[in-house]
Amino acid sequence: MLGMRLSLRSKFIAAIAALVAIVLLANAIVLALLVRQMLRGQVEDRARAYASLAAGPVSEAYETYYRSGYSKFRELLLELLELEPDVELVTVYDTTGRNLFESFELQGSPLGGDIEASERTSDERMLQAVRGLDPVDWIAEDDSGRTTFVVVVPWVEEWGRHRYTVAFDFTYNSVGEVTRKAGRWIAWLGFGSLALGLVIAAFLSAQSLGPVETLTRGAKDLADGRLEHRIVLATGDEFEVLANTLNQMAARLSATVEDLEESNRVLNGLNTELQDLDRVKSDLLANVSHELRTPLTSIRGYGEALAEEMLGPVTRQQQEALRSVQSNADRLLAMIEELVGYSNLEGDRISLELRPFDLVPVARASVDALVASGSGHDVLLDCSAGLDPVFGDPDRIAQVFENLLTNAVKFTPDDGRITIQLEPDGKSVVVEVSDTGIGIEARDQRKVFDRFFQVDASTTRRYGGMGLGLAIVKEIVDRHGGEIEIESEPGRGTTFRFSIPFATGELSQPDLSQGASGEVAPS
Amino acid sequence: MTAKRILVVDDAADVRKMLSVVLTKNGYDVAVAGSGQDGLVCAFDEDPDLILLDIMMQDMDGWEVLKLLKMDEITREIPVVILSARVEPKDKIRGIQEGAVDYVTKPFVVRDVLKRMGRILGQDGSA
Repeated sequence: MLGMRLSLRSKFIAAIAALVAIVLLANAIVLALLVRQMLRGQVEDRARAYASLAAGPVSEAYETYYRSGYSKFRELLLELLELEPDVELVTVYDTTGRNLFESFELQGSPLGGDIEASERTSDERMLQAVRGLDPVDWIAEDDSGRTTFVVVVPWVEEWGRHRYTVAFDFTYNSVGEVTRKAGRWIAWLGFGSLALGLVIAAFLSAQSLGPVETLTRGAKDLADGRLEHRIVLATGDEFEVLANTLNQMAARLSATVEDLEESNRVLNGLNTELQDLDRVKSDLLANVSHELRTPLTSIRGYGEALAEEMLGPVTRQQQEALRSVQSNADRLLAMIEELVGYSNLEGDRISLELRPFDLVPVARASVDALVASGSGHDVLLDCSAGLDPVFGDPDRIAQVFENLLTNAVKFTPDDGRITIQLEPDGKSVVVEVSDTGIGIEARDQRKVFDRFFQVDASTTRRYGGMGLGLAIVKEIVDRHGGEIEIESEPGRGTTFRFSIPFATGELSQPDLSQGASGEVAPS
Repeated sequence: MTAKRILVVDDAADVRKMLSVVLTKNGYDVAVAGSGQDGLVCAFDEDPDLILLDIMMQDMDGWEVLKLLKMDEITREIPVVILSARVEPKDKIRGIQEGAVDYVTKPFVVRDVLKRMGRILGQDGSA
């Protein structure tokens, strides 16, 4: 956030600085060019004037004194040259273009000139100018790129004789000096303006970014959840509109949050209520179980005492009545057990205690219990010898056997056969509990695992039970990670099938390692 | 041989009555108590040969009675059989751990209870 703000500010300043710099540079260039142009023009005008005025005296001085009185000539010439600092060279030609005198000579001996005339000039332009009768000027450039202003003035005597032409070479030195001076001024002014521009840009950006910073802080407050915070900004521009919009948003958000909190409170209350209800239900079931068992104790106890003739002799008819009392009390008890057992399983109040155990003794105990209960059925346990231990909760698996056998007994005629088969199959044991009973119609086969399901209403009356036995079986098998299947044919019998995994080394490993580490640890 | 004295502690009057009748008919000398406190007092006063103890009782429950019985020099030796409507295996284990000799769930088969009592008292079936 800080980086973004700085970048915005520096962009702002850089833009203004660039703008100022470009304008200044353009101004400076134009100004410099104009000044130079103007100064050169001035220099040239002055040069022409000087040349036209000086040509006569130079020619006359040459004519009169060059050969006869050189020192006089030199004096005159030096006086003339001093009048104009820009004049670099004065050359006197005759009309054939021969160089008669060059002012460089003056720097040499003050007594004698170079008497011999030198060669004719090879410069074509100069030659033409020398021969002409009108003053001519041009800008010459030597090999090193230095420019000079050349003015050639023919000296025409009073009666029209033209013997000499004088050429003046002027430098632009003064122009350069003035231009440089002006350049320095322009540069200083430029830097000053740039500095001033930067200061103004910084001030302006602070001015215009201040509201942005205020808005950013306000938005950050919102982001951090301080919804009661409001942004105070009275700039009267778009920033204020934005601030107001943010404030409205905050107000709406805080209203929404309040609503949500209210809903949450309500939901929490409901949840607590539900949990309470669940606990009440669970307590209720425990209580119901206890409260029903207590009167049943009296009923069963007295019934038994009567039937056993502990309280005096009873008639056959009375015996029969007592048997009915007993069996109904037993049914009631079975129902209570079923209901509480299923409720505990369903509510996850009972967790499986998984461990390796031998399946055969568990199955054998269930079969023995069934035989001991005095059912007339032919009950078989069919298993291969030396079955490896399986992994599960033995108590719950025993319950599965018990419920499946109870179910089989209910629906199988007394001369029928009930079989438990244990068959190893890869990593697990397949358990089959089959009977030769009345069987179940295909459409009812899946429903037998539903709670309180009875194949028909008369089943309850005829066979007892609440229709929870198979639901409990399914729940237990499910929680062992298995799946119970049913196979049935009406009139032929029913087979229930599920599998339990063998206990592998990995699963029983943790117990062993824990024991081992306990022993190894130094005391 | 004098009749063995049995103390029945149970807050359900019907169960108390039923046990009292049945046990008396089977030759036992029966005392009854309707609460944990009464049961303790009775146990100290009567020094019974065996106590049939209910667990879920108002005020002082069977666990507390059992603990107090086992803390006292005299009553410590009296065998206690728990008769309870609590059927969870963990309750049965707790009962044995806390010093009861047997744990029978309600409702029970009277003949079965008589058999267990006989075994504990060194008799066969009935007195």
